[in-house]
Amino acid sequence: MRTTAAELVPAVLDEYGELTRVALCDYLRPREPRRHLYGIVADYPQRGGRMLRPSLCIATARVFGAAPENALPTAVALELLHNAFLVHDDVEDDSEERRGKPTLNSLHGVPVAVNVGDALTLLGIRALLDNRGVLGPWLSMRLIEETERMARESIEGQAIELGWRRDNALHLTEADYLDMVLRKTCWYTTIYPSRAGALIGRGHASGLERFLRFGFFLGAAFQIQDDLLNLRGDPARYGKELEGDLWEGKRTLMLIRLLECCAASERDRLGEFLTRPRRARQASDVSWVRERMDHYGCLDHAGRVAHALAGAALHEYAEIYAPLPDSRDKQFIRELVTWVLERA
Amino acid sequence: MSADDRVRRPPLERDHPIRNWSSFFAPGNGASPGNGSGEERAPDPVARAVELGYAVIDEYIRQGQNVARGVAQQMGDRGFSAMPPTGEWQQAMSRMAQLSAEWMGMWFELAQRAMGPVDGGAGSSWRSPFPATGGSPAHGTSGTTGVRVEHARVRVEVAAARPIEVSLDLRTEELHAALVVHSLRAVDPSLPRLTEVSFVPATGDAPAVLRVRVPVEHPPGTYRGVVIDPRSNRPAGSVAVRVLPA
Repeated sequence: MRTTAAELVPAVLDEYGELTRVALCDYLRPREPRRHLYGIVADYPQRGGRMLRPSLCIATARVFGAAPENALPTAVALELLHNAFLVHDDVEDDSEERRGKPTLNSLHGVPVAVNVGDALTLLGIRALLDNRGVLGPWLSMRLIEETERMARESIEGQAIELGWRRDNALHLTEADYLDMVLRKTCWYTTIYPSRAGALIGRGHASGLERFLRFGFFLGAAFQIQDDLLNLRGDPARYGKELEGDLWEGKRTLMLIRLLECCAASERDRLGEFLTRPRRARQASDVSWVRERMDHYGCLDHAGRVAHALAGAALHEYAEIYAPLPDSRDKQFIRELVTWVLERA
Repeated sequence: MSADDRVRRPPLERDHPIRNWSSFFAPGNGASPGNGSGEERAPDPVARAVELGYAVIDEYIRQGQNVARGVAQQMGDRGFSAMPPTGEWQQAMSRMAQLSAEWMGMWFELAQRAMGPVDGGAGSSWRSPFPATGGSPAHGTSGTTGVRVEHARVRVEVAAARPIEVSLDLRTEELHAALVVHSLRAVDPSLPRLTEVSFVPATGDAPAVLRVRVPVEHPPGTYRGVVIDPRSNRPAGSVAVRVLPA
């Protein structure tokens, strides 16, 4: 009997997530200076998280024939770099909540948080360097190059999004949004874990471009669903500030859709709302934006787009994985596409 | 027939192409910014989303391919060293070369540390072996070229049908040892390795010799490899050979 996404994906995420967490402990041992650095460095990684990225990396490596331990340093590096991005992201967005608790910038202030983010980045590089004992110098070097590209794409995507907010961009299209998401989210959430896993499993770099399309469609569906959960997620399970994206003026697909669809007078009001800094925004204005999104069906539209992109991801999955022997890891990667839309 | 009787085409709805993504796949139906209608919808958001997604990722891939094609073509036409000093991809290539050199230097240092304690200043003052930061390139098509390196005297013997550049950086003065040169590889793993590179130890007053032979059909590119001291199994330096187009 075929295992469903609801059963298989959480089981594999638990299994590979636990493997990664154990290995992660080696990099997060408490040491001095503890109070303002290493005691805080472990905070975000210890708050949990789904471990989607390291699990995808390990599963892909296994599909292509590697042992899980061969992918473990890269999976750990990915999780450390992910947490570094989150710390800096929270500072840049002035966010207040992360994984159900106050953000590091809220708890310790911006300077300490930025420094902790830098430390997490360096620990991630350390984990990548530890690959050389497992994979040898050439493959380790190739993974470092791949990581450099991933990090560069991510910060370029972040720059695009920050620029939209700083310049109060109001005339964005869905293509603009997808291009930003490709760089900001897809590269480090799905493209890099897939490419790194394939690199580790196959031992050579040819054919990695095939993972661009699969990773893009999967990652874009994931991001849109993530943004939808920010608006209508279960408060007990979501872990971040509900409607935080509206407070931050984040250019989500729903907001771009609203700007496209709404009447001119509404667009003027929305533009004025987005011009204000976060602290000057009122709850009544946020409620109005949310109500207009419902009125124009922006959430439903985004949901349909996410499903469509997930369908394309399944097509691209078949292009890559169909010739490979069936396995639990192969099925996990396939079911991941469904899971990103079903998760609450 | 009077001018009033002539059949005339109706006025054009537009006289310029629509150049925005929202109407690219469904001209006339897209909810373009600023229409102020408040109620317009694209007819099939699912098909449009998939088409738009493919357009975005294909454009991204196409841009990457164009950059790669430009780099390859330029290298094939003029050779790496003959590139003009300006231009976007030229800057990218220079950056890549610089990064590569920097990484190689760091890599040797890491390798040395991984293999044992760093002994004195030689290990801790390791520098990149490539022209960006050090090393003395030897140009030639064939024959023997004397090269002064930083620490010792080594003669480089080159056999090649095309112009090549050889950079050698040794971190040992023990040139009487039978140092081993691993085959040189390019960054692109599909390029064949340069395997005929060897090191002949110094004997008496005769200097050590680095012998490099480049096969006639070997593709242009920069090939790098490690020099190992087999007694300690530690890196003793590196060799870089740049094969230029004929």
